[in-house]
Amino acid sequence: MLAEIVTATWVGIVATTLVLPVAVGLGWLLARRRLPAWLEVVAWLPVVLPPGAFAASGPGGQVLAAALLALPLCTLVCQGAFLRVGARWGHVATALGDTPRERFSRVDLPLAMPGLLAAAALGFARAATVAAAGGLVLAIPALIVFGSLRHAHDEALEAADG
Amino acid sequence: MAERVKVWSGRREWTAEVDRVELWGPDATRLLEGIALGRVPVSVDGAALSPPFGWLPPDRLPFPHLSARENLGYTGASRARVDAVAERLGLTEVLDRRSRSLDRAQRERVALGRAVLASDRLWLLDGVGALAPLLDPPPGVVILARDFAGAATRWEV
Repeated sequence: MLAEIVTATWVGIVATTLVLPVAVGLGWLLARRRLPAWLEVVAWLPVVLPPGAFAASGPGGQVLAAALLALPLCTLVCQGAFLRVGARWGHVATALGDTPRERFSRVDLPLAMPGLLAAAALGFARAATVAAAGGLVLAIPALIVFGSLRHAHDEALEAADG
Repeated sequence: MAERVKVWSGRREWTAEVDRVELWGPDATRLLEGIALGRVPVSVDGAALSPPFGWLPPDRLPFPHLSARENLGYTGASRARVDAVAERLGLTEVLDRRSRSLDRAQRERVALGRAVLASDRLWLLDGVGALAPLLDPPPGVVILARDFAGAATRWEV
């Protein structure tokens, strides 16, 4: 049992670390650029697949399977985070002379941060459940996810008020 | 008098020989935003300009994740200049507070300060209104603004 928790945790952490930068980039593209609709459908597909659909063996295989499962979920939550921020702050930064890169790091990224952290938690949860089948292990990431989603929800309400 | 400022968008063109221009009409906000984002060409004294511009966006809000001081200094103004503008706008006491914790009037003034510190060539102020007495333009700056009582001429857009 303990060994399963340890394995699930490290697979989750490694997979999330690998996936998050990619997911942030893709999420930003989906939120800010006009992309074909089918791309978004493809991005959603692995979300509804059961973890068992990705047969994994060995530590490398487990991390890879976990990353593949976590990527779309992470991407879509990141997309939501950038959509919630909206384009107007980026416009202000552009008018004030920021390059696209500066605009991303000074405005888009910090403003989307609560949502991006939620994406990381969700990705970790998804990845960790690939590595473990035990009910307890499934419950721990789920609790983290619900906690962070609730936090993101509160942040969204606060932002809407302010 | 020589032409000071020219804006051209599609088939239309506007020119003025003075520094203070009020934009009036249903497309004033869209035109100001187009200029601010570099999509609508603008020239001052015959030279085409590009960002940074002193844009006060129509919501007149500062960046919520930055303090008032960080907003004013967003375009790299020196600490002394930030302090001077903050004093003029009555923001000295709240400079180190996060802008989302400020009240509506203070936020508008932070956004105005961010705009005036961004450029000494062109200010694009979308809704001056009651903020007009706070403006202290340096000589030579051109102001295109909506709801601007102090304007010397008016463009219908």
